[in-house]
Amino acid sequence: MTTDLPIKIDGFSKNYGPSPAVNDLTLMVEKGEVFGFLGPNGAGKSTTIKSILNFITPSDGKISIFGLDSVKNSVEIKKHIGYLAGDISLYDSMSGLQLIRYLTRLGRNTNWTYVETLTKRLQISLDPKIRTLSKGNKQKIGLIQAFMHQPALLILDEPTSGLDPLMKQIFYEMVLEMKQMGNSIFVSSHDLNEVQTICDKAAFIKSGNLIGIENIKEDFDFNIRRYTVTFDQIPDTKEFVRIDSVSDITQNKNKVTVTVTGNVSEFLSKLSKLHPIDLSEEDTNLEDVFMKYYEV
Amino acid sequence: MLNTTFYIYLMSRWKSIAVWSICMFVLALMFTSVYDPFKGEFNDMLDNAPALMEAMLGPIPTDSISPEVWLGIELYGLLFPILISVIAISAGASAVGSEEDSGTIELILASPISRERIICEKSLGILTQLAIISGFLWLGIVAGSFLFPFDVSLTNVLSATVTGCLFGLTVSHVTFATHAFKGRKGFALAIGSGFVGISYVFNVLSGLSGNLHSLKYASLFNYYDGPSVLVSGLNEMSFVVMLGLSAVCFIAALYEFKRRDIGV
Repeated sequence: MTTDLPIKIDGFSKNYGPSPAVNDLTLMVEKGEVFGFLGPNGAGKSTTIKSILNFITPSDGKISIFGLDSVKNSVEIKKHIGYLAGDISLYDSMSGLQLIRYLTRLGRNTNWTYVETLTKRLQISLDPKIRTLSKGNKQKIGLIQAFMHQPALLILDEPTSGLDPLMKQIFYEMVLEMKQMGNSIFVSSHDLNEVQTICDKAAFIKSGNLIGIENIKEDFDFNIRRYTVTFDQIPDTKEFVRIDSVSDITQNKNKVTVTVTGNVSEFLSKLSKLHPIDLSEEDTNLEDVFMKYYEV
Repeated sequence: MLNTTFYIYLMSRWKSIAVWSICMFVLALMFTSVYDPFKGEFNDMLDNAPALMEAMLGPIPTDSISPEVWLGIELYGLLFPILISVIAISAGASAVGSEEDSGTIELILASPISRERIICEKSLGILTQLAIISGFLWLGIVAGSFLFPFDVSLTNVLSATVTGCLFGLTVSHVTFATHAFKGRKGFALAIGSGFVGISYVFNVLSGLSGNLHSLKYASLFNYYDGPSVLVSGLNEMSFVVMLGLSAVCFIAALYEFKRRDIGV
């Protein structure tokens, strides 16, 4: 390793045919940082992750991992990386233990004491054949193989897919422990709470283009909500237009849908005067939050 | 070699290897056992053999049929190369293809192992698979030569078996290189099968007409020629040609797998 910078992506582009899957992406992940990589399906997240791991060769630009070129020094780099694929595939005919032994033989410097700790924490046995495991338990095996050598850089694609809330919490603790050890984590996720819980920074990518990078812990306000209000008669929406925190007002007869950014007190105050008969909050979509935030 | 991609390749196919090996052994035993009772009838039949039969099975001797000639006609002329081709095509297409299709290739690629090593170990796995299965054919003939009146040159049988194994390796490397180039298992299977099919047709056509004689040089069956090896021993030149073609395909697979995007 020639530098402490775990990931440096400089002008990375990848083309499949005429349209680029990723276009001129530049970002950096610092040592000991948990970096979220967010975006809708098909945005270019997996392409970027697979290029970091040299499954895919960049069409343009350069990716450096700890100062080493991702293509030329791929084998050396992977000694320091743990990877969990989004739709992880394991060898069904192996047991978890056989898989870990196999991956150890392929060059991973497995810490067996840590493997034992992880199996206890994740409450999974490594003895059954993988084909007999549920999706959630397969995901746990996937997490163990990614963490087992306590890599300096963890690359996790949708890591909590299939995990129950308790196991998610344990996973968050595992991530924070790795961070405290000075290791870095690059995580792709759709889960807004997950990003807020574990990430220091997050980059948002859409249609192959980087929309922005935010410092989650300090600056970024995810407090964007979308409400649908039902009135007993058709209301005058001009009342909402005057509120700074309210935008995207749409009306369908006596139903009004609005987006509220930040503090909701002024919106609720005005609303109470209009005699609403029902108020519902829509699920917050991560993409919508970013789109709204950047007003893309 | 335990727990390497080579070992995992063999372990994932041990049932198939065991079944094919037993089949080859039994097939060899069967043909050695029926030689003595059938050789008289077979001599009469060969005296009236049509040209097409000779083109398909190779040169048919006019003198009394020996165990080597019997094996050449019954087993090494067509059956063995076809069976070994089936195994080889499947192995060449699936060695990396199955891992790509299932997604397990990402576990390997995320480990500190070079793509060159993956290809080398997979190729070694294919060679070992073909060698074990072919070896059981030879062992079946060895067993048959002790159990039945079948006085055959086991050295020549071994040479023919090794030549057949190399034939299979060449076919599998053609398929392997095709998969490395396109990353599609079905396409590789089609090209591998087509390669063997066209090779066989060229070999037959070259024996039927003088005008088409030169087609034999484009046929892998011409270089294999198991029946002749059984009678005359190893043909070094043909062996080198197959070895060369196999090596070229292997290098092509190595080159293409190294540069191709995987997991797209």
